[in-house]
Amino acid sequence: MKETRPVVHVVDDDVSFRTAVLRLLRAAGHETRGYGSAAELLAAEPGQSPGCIVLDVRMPGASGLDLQKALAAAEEPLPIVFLTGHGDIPATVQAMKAGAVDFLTKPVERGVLLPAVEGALARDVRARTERTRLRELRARYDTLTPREAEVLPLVVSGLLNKQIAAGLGLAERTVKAHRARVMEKMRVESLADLVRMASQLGLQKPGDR
Amino acid sequence: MNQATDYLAMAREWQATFDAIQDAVMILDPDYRIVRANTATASFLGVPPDSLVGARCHQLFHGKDCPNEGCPSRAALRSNRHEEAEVFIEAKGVWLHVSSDPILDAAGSVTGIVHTARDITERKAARNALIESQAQLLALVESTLDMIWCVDPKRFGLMMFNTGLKDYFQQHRGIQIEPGMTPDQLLPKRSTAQWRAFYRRALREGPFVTEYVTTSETHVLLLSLSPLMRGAEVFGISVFGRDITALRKSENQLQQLHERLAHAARVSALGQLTSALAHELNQPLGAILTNADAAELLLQSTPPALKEVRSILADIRKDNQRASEVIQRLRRLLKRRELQMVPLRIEEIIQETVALLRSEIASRKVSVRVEVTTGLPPVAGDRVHLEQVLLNLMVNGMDAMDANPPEARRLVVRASHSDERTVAVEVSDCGHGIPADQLSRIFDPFHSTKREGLGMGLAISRTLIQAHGGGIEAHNNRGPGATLRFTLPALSAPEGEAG
Repeated sequence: MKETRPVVHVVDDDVSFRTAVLRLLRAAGHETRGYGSAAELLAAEPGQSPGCIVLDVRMPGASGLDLQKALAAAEEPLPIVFLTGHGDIPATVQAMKAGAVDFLTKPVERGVLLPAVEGALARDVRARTERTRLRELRARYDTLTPREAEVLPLVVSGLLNKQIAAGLGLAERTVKAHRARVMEKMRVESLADLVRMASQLGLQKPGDR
Repeated sequence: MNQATDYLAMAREWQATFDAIQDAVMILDPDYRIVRANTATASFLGVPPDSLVGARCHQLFHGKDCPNEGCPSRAALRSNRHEEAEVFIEAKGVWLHVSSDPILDAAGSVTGIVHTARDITERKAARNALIESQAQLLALVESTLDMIWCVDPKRFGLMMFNTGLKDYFQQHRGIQIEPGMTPDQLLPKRSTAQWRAFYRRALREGPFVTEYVTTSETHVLLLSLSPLMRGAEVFGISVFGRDITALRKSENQLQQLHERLAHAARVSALGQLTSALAHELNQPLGAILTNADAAELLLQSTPPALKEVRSILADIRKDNQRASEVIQRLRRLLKRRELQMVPLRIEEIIQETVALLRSEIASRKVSVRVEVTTGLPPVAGDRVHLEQVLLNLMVNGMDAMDANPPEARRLVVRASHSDERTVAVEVSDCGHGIPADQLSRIFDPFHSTKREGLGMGLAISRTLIQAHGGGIEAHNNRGPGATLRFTLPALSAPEGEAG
């Protein structure tokens, strides 16, 4: 995570509305960038640095919802605050299902827009921290030997060394050594921590098969 | 024997005179016996002249034993005066004009009759034909409810008139009209000048047609005036007048009905566009609110960013203007009103309609191309009605392309010269086209090819275009889709607008 100020990206084809929103966000102390179309935003690869997107649903070219799909597929998806005309219920439902942070109707009050943007930015910070942590976790996991990787899910599923040894046709001592290496490489102190990590990595427990 | 020679000569001279007369002349005795007859008599009867003497007149001419009831000779024998009659000779199918003059002796007694007969069959036929044609003419003139009359070219006094005119004056002015009456005697003071002007115009310019609203404004008459000629001389002015009050009234009602329908169609078209219009309004309103919010924050900062606040205020003003334009457009569309014809530039109509549909176009992912030939003449039209037509056609075009993938939703609006006096506007889509069997019916009211359609859009469009003196038609494109095309008469050099 680079040490840069988060950027609020505003996408709206209506220049006058976009200008007003950019002004308000700047006045509230945000770093901002404006785009006239979804294509412009995508070309700018906004996910490179932290931030969020304020997006008009009804736009010529790719609509806001299409853009949402494209952004969600990116490596670093930014949270989206949707703006829409009044009563566009089908679009609202669709956007919410696709994971919009907020869905605001135009015209939007400062008291509504600014907290929504703050919320989206906070969410981005959390998501980034989480993604960073997960990446680290995965890096640790990648240092495991194939045998250690085989032992790990059996350990977290609560099996005793003796049981694992029997299952894998190894000596109990060998299993014990593997377990110690796994704990060390994954940098955990307790079995409980290891279990939590395994679940975050999405490792299947043998019992679930 | 000089005297005898003289008598003979006189007798020959008289006989020659007698025979030279083309009419049949006979001398009858008081018993209707022929004493003398000229050659014309013999040739009329087709017998030798000698065979006539001694024969009875009624025997020869009528084949009867006694004179006819109407025989002028019989009358002359009784009256001792000249008598005449028209007599029909059945055997020959001939009409004779017969005069009978008594020959009196010194004592004043009738000694004979001079009976002169002239064949008047042809003359009588000609006269009958004239009478018949006059009767027919009269029947023709009287067979109509229209008013027909003529006036003399000097005082404009009534010469002839039909019952239509007589009844009109009887009914509406309580006047029993008579030949010779002048406009001053017939008409209220306020309208005499106008009527004299009508008559004078007919004398000056020849035949013309005009509409006339009576001074009481209760009647509308359609008048056709024309000078009446005999050779090169104008002997009168004819007027054919038709009371079109009822017609006008129903036309007005139709016009009102049409306006109500157009209004209904506009409202329903607007219903379809509600979300688009809401968006149109929301944009500037949203910008205004957000700008105001930003300004408040900027004023709280130290030092307050006054420069930016000023540009915010300018933008707020601009957006306010934008919002009120949307509202004005809406108001114009919603208002039920009469046709207001003004000179218009067709490209402006197209631009405004495209602007009105901007959001609709965006949300339906349609690409719209506008092609306008440069230097198009203006048209006379009602802005709102023409925008309404174009809006209908464009929405129809977009509807037709709903099933297309977005890249194949192309709408082209074209304006060009049809010919130098006509401007044509076309709306072409790439949609499903119009089924061949429906092409002729799509302008009929309540005929819709859309499941949720009312079938009024194109019907109204056609009525509106026709009210502009234009036409509208539809055809399928050579490629996919259909083209709707309407034409409007171009305004050329400004003409005097006669009221």
